[in-house]
Amino acid sequence: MNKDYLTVLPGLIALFGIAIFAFVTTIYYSGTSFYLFEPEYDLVGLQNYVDLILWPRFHNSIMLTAIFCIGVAIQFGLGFILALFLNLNYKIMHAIRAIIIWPMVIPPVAVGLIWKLLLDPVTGPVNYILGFPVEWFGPHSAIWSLIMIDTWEWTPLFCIIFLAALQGIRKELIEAAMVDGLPFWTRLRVIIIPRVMPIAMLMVLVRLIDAIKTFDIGYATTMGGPGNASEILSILNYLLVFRQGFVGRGAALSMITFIILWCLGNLVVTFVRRLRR
Amino acid sequence: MANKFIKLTVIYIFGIIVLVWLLFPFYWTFLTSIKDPKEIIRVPPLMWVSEPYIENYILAFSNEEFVRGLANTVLSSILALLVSLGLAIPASYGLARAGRGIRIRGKDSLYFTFITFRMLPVFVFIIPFYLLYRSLGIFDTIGGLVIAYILIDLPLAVWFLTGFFEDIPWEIEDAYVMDGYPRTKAVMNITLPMALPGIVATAIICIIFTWSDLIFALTLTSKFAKTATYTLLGNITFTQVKWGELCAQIIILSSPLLVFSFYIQKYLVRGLTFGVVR
Repeated sequence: MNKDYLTVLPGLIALFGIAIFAFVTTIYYSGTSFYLFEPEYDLVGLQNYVDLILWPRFHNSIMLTAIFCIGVAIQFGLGFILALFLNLNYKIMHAIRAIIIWPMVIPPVAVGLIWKLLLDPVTGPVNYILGFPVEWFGPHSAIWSLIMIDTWEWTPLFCIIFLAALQGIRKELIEAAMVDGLPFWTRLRVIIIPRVMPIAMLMVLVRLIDAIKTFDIGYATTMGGPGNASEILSILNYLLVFRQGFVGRGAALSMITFIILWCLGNLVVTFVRRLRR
Repeated sequence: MANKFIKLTVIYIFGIIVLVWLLFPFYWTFLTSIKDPKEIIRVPPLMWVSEPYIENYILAFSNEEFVRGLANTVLSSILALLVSLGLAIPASYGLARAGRGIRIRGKDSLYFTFITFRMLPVFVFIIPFYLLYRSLGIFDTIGGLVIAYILIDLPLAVWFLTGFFEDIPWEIEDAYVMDGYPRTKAVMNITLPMALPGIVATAIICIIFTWSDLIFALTLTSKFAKTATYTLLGNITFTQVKWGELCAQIIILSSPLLVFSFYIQKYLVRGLTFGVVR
């Protein structure tokens, strides 16, 4: 152990100091019948996990979170198309580039509240402009509205990454292809996509992790409702622990989420290792 | 000629659609913040107002809860940032130079250990924090919030800073040391000034994240240490939503972040892609 490790150690110790105790406690709670409003609780082993796996409300939440993740694919596609346009040398494209990240720098809870206002069934401008009433936060539509809000917020992320990747492609390559008379679609398929795809896949993974963790826009708009129609995992976890007091079961749910994110996180690490080589 | 004109038209129509999609929500928030209560509930909705109603902003700034929330947001963000940068700058320096003058093995594993914390579900931490904070007496305090925010800032800062430090040419620092200066002095005088733009960008990105936090504030504070994002929700009650004030508060809370956004964009790409895209 040489003294060079002193650069890294304080940071690591701080992180582990804060996190490890909490993490171990969560594992412990997940094996208990801890109910917030009663001081006594027992060890129940894996009962909470079994209960969760058999619980329709949990199935519903997993399904909704999976649907919510479709949004990442939409953001990916829109971000790519947008980046192709923004890469063109026109004044309006420069203007868009300057403000493109605005949706993702304001607090997500503000994003949720703004869209709640925009989509209001009576006074909202969106239904007025559309000219017919749409029930944005109904039992079937609520999750799709959340996806739309998430897409507004995070398409810019894909867009700026793609834009940077596009600008990293050597000009001569594109020019040579144009001189050779390759049509746009061929240039896209042969030159652009192979160079942009690796980084794009990495960003999809990073975004998937964030999508599964999404809480704020759900909390600000529907709070999981109507009924359980938009109850994604983090909202269910919040309601379970902080509204209903089921700490044990909530802890078990957070551990299940942890396992899902851990797998995705490991994929990210493998990917980055390969890309940096 | 005609062909070129059509192309230009298509591009501008597309551009305008994108601009509207991006900016309309901001426009509507601002518009609502300068509408009087009667105009807000008007059906059909007013698309502009001829006379701005600035009362909402006066109300926001005289709203004790919101002003205190704003102060708490600023204070906890900055404190967590200072602690995190103090820990992350040496760590990133060490990681970026590992194998290049610094003897640290398992550089990648250490780097990813930091970043992993960013990917964990917050509830893994929040449930014990919520209970532990009460017994420690730091529930609903700035200090308690800062501890939680370090958990946000520190992994983020190491993630971004390591990438930025990797771009620095070490030869200059090494030459300085060769001339007989102590290493710490060389780092202070040579390396840190070169890394400054990246450090500033990292600081801003950290601030954006803690500034925007809702979940920690929601669960670890209840009255005195409430942050501004939490107090936003106070405008919504069972009987009504005070949209005018709420939108004024959103504008106040978001404006600094919108200004910051111009500086960080290029660093954001570099950092987020783990240095793969430059």
